Amino acid sequence: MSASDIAGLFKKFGGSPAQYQEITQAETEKASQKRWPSMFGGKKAAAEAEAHAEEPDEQPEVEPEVTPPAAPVAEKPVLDAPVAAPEPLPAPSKKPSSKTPDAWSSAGLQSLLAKLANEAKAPATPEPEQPSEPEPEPIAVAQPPRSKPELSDIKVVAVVSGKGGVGKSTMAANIAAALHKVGRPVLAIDLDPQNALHHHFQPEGEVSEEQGVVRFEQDWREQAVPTKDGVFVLPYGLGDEAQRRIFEAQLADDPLWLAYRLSDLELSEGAVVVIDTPPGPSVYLQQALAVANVALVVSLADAASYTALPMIDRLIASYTDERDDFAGTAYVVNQIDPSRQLNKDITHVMHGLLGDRLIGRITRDQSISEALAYNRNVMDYDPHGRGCRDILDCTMALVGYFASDDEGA
Amino acid sequence: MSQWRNGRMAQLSQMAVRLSATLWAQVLIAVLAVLVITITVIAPLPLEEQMLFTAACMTAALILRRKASRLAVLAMIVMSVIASLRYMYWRLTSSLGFEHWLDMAFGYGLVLAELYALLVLLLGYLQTAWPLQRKPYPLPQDQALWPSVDVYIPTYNEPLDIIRLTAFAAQAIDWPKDKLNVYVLDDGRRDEFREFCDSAGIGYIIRPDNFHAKAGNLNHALKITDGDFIAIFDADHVPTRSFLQVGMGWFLRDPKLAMLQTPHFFFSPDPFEKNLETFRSVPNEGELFYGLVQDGNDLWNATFFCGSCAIIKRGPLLEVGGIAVETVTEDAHTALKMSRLGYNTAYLALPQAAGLATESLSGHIGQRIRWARGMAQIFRTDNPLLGGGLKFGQRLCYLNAMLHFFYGLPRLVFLTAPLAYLFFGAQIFQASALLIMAYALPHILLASVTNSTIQGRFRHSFWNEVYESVLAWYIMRPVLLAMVNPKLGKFNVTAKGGVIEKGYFDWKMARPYIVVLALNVIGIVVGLSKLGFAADSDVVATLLINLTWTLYNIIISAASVAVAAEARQVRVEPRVYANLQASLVLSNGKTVVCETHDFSQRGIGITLPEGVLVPHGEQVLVSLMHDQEECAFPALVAFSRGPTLGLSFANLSIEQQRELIRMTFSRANTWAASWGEGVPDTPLGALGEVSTIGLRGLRLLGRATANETLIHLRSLLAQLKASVRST
Repeated sequence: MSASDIAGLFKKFGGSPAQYQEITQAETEKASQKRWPSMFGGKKAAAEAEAHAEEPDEQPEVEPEVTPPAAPVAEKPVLDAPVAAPEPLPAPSKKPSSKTPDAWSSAGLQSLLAKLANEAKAPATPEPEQPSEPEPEPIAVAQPPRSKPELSDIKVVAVVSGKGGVGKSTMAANIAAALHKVGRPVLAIDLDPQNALHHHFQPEGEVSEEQGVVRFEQDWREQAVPTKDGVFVLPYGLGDEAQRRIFEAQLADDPLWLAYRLSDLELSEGAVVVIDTPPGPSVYLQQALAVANVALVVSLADAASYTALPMIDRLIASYTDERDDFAGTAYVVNQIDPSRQLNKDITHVMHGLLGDRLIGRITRDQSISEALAYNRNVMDYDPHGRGCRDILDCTMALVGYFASDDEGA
Repeated sequence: MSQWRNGRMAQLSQMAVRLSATLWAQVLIAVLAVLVITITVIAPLPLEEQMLFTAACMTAALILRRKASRLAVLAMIVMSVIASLRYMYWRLTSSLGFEHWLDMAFGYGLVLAELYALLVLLLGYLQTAWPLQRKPYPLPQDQALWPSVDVYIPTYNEPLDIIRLTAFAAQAIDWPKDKLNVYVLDDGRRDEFREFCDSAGIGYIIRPDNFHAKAGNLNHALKITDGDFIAIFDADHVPTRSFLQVGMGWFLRDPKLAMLQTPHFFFSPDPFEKNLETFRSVPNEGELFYGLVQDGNDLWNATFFCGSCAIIKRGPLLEVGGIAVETVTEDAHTALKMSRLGYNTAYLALPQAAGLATESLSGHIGQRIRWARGMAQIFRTDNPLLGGGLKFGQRLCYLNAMLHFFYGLPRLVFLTAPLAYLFFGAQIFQASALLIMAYALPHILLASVTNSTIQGRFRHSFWNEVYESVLAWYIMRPVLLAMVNPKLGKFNVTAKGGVIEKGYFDWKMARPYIVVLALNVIGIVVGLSKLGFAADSDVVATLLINLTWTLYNIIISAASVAVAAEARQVRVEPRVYANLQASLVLSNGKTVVCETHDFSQRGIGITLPEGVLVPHGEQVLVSLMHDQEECAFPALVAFSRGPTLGLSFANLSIEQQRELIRMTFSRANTWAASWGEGVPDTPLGALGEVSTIGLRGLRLLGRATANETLIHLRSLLAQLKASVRST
C-alpha cells in the first residue's frame, strides 16, 4: 500500500508506486521506537522474530532481546538493523489473533514509567496507571452441552478491553449509533454490570430501571429499549448482588446462553449486535466472544493500556480459536492526543504491529464526553468534530471487516 | 514486470545515436526530400491557384489539428514549413523591387526581421516536433546500489525563512540518510544561517570571497564535499520528497548521463500572472520552455541545465572544470561544455520542486536580461555551431536557444512596420495587396495553427507576442552589446520584491510600450483619414491590410501596458493553495474536522464546516493529515470571518517545522498534479483574452494618466496659492 501522494505521482507517468521506497517515514517509525527504547526495544525484535518464524525452515525462534529496563536510556538506538517500513500485514484473515500474543512485550514498563515521570511536568497526565494486571487464570471452557445455533444472518461485535477506563462503553455506544447511521439495524447489549451503556442513548418513552439482561428469564423482545438514535438497547439492568450472582452462574453453566438468546430474537438479515463487556476476563466476555464475529479491542495510547494488550489478545484467542465464523480481532486506539509524542509513538508502533487490524484512531475530543452528558451520540452532538469523523471512519472499517468475513465464508 | 515502459524509452533515447549510425541512408532520403520541397517552394503559381493552394493547406491543417497525433503534427509542420518557405521565396524574389530609398530602408529592415522569425520558426519546429516524454527509470530495489548525493542550496541574500524551508524539504527527500548530505552555501556569510544549519544537522559552507557569484559558490563547495552526485536547488526552490528516487534512475541506467533537469515550477504568480490575473488560467512564460522545449531538446540529447532543480554527476562536472564562470548563464554553458565532451543530458517533465516566481515586473525583466545577455555571450565566446564534440541536432537546439533571445529588435520592427506605410507611404511590399494576402496569409495562419497544436497546453496563441513585446525593448540593448563585446551589456534593474503595499503603475517600465502604443494609435487615425480620401481600390486594400496589422499591434502593446500596472501584494510569504485534510483542537477541548485552503511556512488558512465558528484570538492545535500520519501544530487564530480562518503558528520547534514541511511542501505530487493539465489553446479564444487584457491596459493607462494629471494639477494649484499668499 503506497502513500497517496506517491500513488498520485506515479499514476501521472504510468509507473508502479511499489517501486518507491519510503525512507523518511521509516526513519520516523524507527525514531518512534528509539524514543522509548525500553518499551519497544524488545517488541520490534519480537515482531521480527515472529515474521521470520512464519517462513519455514528458519532457525529456532530467537528469544526476543529485551533491553535491561534499569538504565535510563535516552535517544540511543537499540536496534541498529534498519527497521524497514512495518511489515505489510495481511488483510484481515481468519484468526489473526492466534499469533499476536507473543508480539506484545510487557518488558520495561517500570522504566518507561520512570521516564514518563521525569518528563511529565505536563498537565493532564493520562489516568492513573496501574501496574500490569496479573496473568488471567485460564478459564476452563465447559464442553458445550448443545450445538451452537445458526447466527450467520447477523454480525456480532464484542467490544472488549484489557483494562478499565479506556472509554469502552462510550465507543460501543457510538459505534452502535454509527452503524445505524450507515444503514444497519443495530442492537446494543450491555453485558457489563456497571449498566452504563444505555446512558449514551435517549430512550423512546419510559424505561424501567429493572429492565435488563440481568433478569435472564425475561423475554428480550420486551426488555429491549428503542432509542431516538434508532438503536435498540438492552441494558444490563439494575439488580441486587444475589441476582447478579445467579445470572453469572447461569452464564458460566451455559456458554451458549447468549448465542441462543440471539438466535431466539430472529434478527433481520444484516443486523449488527454490539456487545459491551466488562474489562478483563469474565463470564460476560466469554459469552460475548462465543458469538462474536469481530472482537473490537479498545485501548488507549498509553503504556498501561499498551502492556495490557497481550492479555486481552490471549483471552480472545482462547475463546475464539476453534470458530470459523470469527473474522478476527480489530483494534481501536482511543483518546489520542496528537500533540503528545508518546501517544503518537505508541499509535505508530501499534500500526506497525497490527497494520490494517488497527481500524480506528479516535482523537481526544471533549465532545465525546459531553455527548454522554446529554445522552446523545457524538455524531449528533457535534457532527463537525473529530470524534464524529474518527468514529465514522472506524465504523466503516468495521463494516469492511464484516465484508471480508463474508468473502471468507 | 513494472519496468516503466523502459523498452520504448530506451528506443527513444537512442534515437539520436541511431541517426548517425544510419546516416548515409538518411542523407539519400534527405536529398530527395529537399528536392521535392524545393520544387514545391519555388513553383510559381498564378494568383487564383496560389489562393487555392492556401485554402487546401488551411483545410488540411484544420482537419489534422483535430487529430493532433504525432504524425498529424508532423504533417502540419511540413505544410507550415512549405507555406512559409513559399512565402519567403516569393517575398525575396517578387516583392523587393524597391524604387525609393525610404521603401528600401523600411522594406529590407522588415525582410531581415522576417528572415529571423522564419529561422526561429524552423528551428522551433525542429526542437519541438517530437518531445521525448521521458519517464522516470526505476532504481534497483537494493539501496546499497544507490549513489551518494550532495544537495547544494546556494544563497546570497535570501531570508533565512526561505532557506529553512528548502533545507528541511531537502532533508526530507526519501534517500538513504547516510547517502544524503544537505549543504547551505552561504555567500552572505551570515551567523544566523550558521546557527540554524548547526541546529538542524545541515552542512554550512562559506568562502572568503564572492568571485563568480553562484557559479563560484557551487565550485567552491565541489572542492569540499564528495558525493557522487550533486542536486542543486536555488534557495527558494523547495524539493518534494520523491525528487531523487524519481530522478536518479536514468543515471544508473546510462553511465554517460551527466545532468538531469526537472521543470522549474512556481507556486506563486509571476508579474504577468499577478498583474493580469491569469494565474493558472493561462500558461505562464516558463511553461512553454519546461513543458515542451526542454522535452523536445531531450530528443536531441540537448537538454539545458537551468541552474536549479537538477542533478549533476560529479565526475563529468569536474571534467569541464566545474560550473562555467565565463558567462552569466553559467548553467546552460556548463551543460554545453559537458555535451561537447560526449556526455548525455536528460530532461524529466515532472515538477519535483516548486519555488517563488519573481515578484515584480522590474525583477522579472532583470532576470530575463541576464539570460538574454548570457546566451549572447555563449553565442560569441563558445558558439554551438563551432567547436567539436556536438551532434548536429545539439548544435541546432543550442543555436535556437540563443537566437531566441535576439527577438528584441525584430519584435519592435513588427510592432511598428505598418507605420512606415501609414506615416510615410513607404511601400515595403512591392506587390499587389491580393498577392501579399495570398502568400502571407498561409504563412501566418499555418504557422499559428501548427504552433497552437504543438504548444496548446503550454502556451496560448498570441501570448508569445505579449511576453516578447514586454521584454523586447529591455533585452534588445544588452543582447546587441554583448554581441559586439561579450563583456558589455550589463544592466541593473532593481528588483522591488516582497510586499507591494499599494498597487501602482510602473511608468518607468511601461515607457517603451506606451510609446509603441501611442505611435500605433496615431497610425490608426492617420490610416483611417487616408482611407476617407482613397480612390484606388488597390490603395484601399493596402490601407486595410496595414490598419488591421496596426490594430493587432495596438492590442499587443496595450496588453503589455497592462502588465506594468503592479497589483497590490500584501503577503510577504506567498501561500500555496491546497485543500488538505486538517482538524482543530479548540481551547475547550472540542475538535473540528476541516480543510485547509492554503498553507505557508508561517500559517494555514482553514475552511470550517458550515455552522462552525472559531473566534479571533483563540489558541488552537491544528492537525494536518497525510494518509495515516497526523502532525499537530500550536497556532493562534489571527483572522476569522465566517467559515474562513487564518491561523498563524506559534513558535514551532525545529522538529515541528520539519514535520510541517513534510506534511505540506514535501508531498510528492502537489506540483505534478496540475502539470500539463491546463486549458488547451483555442486561437480565437486566446485572441479574445489578449484583446480583453489590451482594453484593460488602455483603461489602466487612462486612469494612471488621470491620477498623475490630478496630482500635478494639485501641486500646481498649491504652488499658485503659496505664491499668491507670499505676495
